[in-house]
Amino acid sequence: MNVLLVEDDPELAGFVRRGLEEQRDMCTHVDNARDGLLRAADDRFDVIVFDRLLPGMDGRDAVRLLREASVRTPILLLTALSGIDDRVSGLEAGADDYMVKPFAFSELYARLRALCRRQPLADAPSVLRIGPLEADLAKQRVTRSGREIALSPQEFKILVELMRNEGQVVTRTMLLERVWGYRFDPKTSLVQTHVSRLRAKIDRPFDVEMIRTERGSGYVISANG
Amino acid sequence: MADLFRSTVFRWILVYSAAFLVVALAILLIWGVLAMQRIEAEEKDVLTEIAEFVEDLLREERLSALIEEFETDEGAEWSDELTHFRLSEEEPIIALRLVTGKLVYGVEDLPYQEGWHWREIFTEDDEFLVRGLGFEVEDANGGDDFAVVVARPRSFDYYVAREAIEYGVVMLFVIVVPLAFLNAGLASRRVLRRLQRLARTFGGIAHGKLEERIPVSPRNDEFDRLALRFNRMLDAIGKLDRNYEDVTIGVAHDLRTPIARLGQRLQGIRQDAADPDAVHRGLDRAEQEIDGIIKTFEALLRMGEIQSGRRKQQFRRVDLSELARDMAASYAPVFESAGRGLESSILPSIRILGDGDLIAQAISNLLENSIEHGRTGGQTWIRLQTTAKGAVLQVGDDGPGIPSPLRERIFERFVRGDQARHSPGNGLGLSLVRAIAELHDARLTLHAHTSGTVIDLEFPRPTAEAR
Repeated sequence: MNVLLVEDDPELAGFVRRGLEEQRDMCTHVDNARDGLLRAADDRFDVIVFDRLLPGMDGRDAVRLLREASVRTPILLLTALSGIDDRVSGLEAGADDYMVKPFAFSELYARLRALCRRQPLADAPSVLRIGPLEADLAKQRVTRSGREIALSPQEFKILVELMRNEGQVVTRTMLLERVWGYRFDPKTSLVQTHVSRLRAKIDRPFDVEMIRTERGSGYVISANG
Repeated sequence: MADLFRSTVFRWILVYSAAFLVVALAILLIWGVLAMQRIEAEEKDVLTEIAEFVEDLLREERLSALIEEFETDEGAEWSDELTHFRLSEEEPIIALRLVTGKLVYGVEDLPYQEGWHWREIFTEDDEFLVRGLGFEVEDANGGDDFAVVVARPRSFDYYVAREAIEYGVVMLFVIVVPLAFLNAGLASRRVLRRLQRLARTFGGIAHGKLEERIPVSPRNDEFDRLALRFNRMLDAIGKLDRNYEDVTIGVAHDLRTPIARLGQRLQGIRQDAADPDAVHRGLDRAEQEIDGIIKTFEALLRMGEIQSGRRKQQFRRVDLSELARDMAASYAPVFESAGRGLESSILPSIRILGDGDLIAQAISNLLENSIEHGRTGGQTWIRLQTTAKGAVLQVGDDGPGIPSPLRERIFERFVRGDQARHSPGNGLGLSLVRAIAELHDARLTLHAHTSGTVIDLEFPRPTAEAR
């Protein structure tokens, strides 16, 4: 993964960079919007992380400029503002995801991974397959090793989200946003409860556990667990 | 004294008194002028009568009868003495001349002038202003033609009336003006005194004595009503102030504990530096503490955002039924794994104008509150119904309920039951629900006489646009 990081806070930038390098990903860091815009247009990055509050420029405007210049690279906006309106306006400007500081690195990493893997809608297959597991999006049907598994609508959505990010961590917050559309963090184990029910149906009757809990961050699905 | 002149009451009473004075003067003057005109008209009538009488006598050539009528023994010309006497007695005088100007009878000093006129007559000791009427009498039989003037001084009545008016005007000024000032002074002093009492209370409040109240008399006059309103406002401010204090203390208390724990963890990590596994465990726990602290701050910020009312601009049509059904479906497994039941009874297609995201959060907070405080094996229900006024969303349970001393304040920030203090949570959940309800003009009520916790969220009837 090749990441362009546009962030003026050296400490935060160092934290993100170290985290990415630990995962053997590449990170190019610039600390101002002008350089950020130039590099974003030049290089072929997999994903761009843009801070919203840069000296002299709102990251949201930078995103708009990039989109107008036909730069299609996925962009994640970082912000210290937590208002919902900011989030909406950031996404409307053309950003693909949005994160509020402070954040855990694992959350940022999971989201960057998901952005890199995102496929254009037209190319998205209508049947997802991982090993013996198959999810038919049109028929809302799930089978493992040919055996049909009945899921609740929430469980189905969770499974699809996990399967689209095969081998990658999907965090609780990502599931909350994408499955439930919640922008708040429920106190209770809403996500955990649904995931453990999903696992009971997908994994328990079989030998191999495909869904794995990544401690402290989220869930991963893969053919061999 | 300067206060007095600046006083509104003082000025108004003076203004009203001046207006009263003007009206009184106008009435007095109009009445007086009319009275004087009436007296003058009467006087003219008398003179006209005399003139007609004299004319008749002259036409009948009965000069002697005329003289007899005036009861004078004297000769043709009246003496000064007689003139003075008759004028003093308000009796008419006469000057009868031939047209050539020779005085035949009467007063030499009353020269002929045709019609109504005024003339000053001087006698030895006095002067008189008389009204005269002059006319000529032609003798039909070819005798002498006469030029006659009859005259009479102004009547005493006229002078009395005039004096009465003048006196009245003076008295009006002498009595009304000082009285107005006295009235204004007394009234404004009383008002000022009551206002000063108010001002003193305000001063006390400004210095933080929020518990002070303005005394209210049983008269229920305008001041009492003002005081009542004001006291009510003070109650509200007091409540806000208490709320603010609670927030401050709540923030301090609820953050002090996790921060203190965080400090301990860091110390622990330092002690365990030799054991990498222990260090990792310590770091995980420290991160958890920090997550909790950040969540508290986020909840406070979110509450601030909601209370600012800005999000009202983003209100859209929200299908409350669908939202509630989704929430019920999502939370049912959570209740089940906590050993409870969640029963839902939701009327379909109830729509309101609102912020779906926030309503979802409110419902989620209510449900989670029930999970946290309900009884094991108990039931929680979520219901959505329409009422005459709008739609009621009810979340209730058969748990232990909220202890009565806490009931009134349960929707305030950082208010938590004693046993709740030891469980996770920041005491902001229900106050967030209240803020969201207020944003939607919805009524939030806690049922008073039930064993469990039953909370109603009553949304107003949607406008036609939202339906």
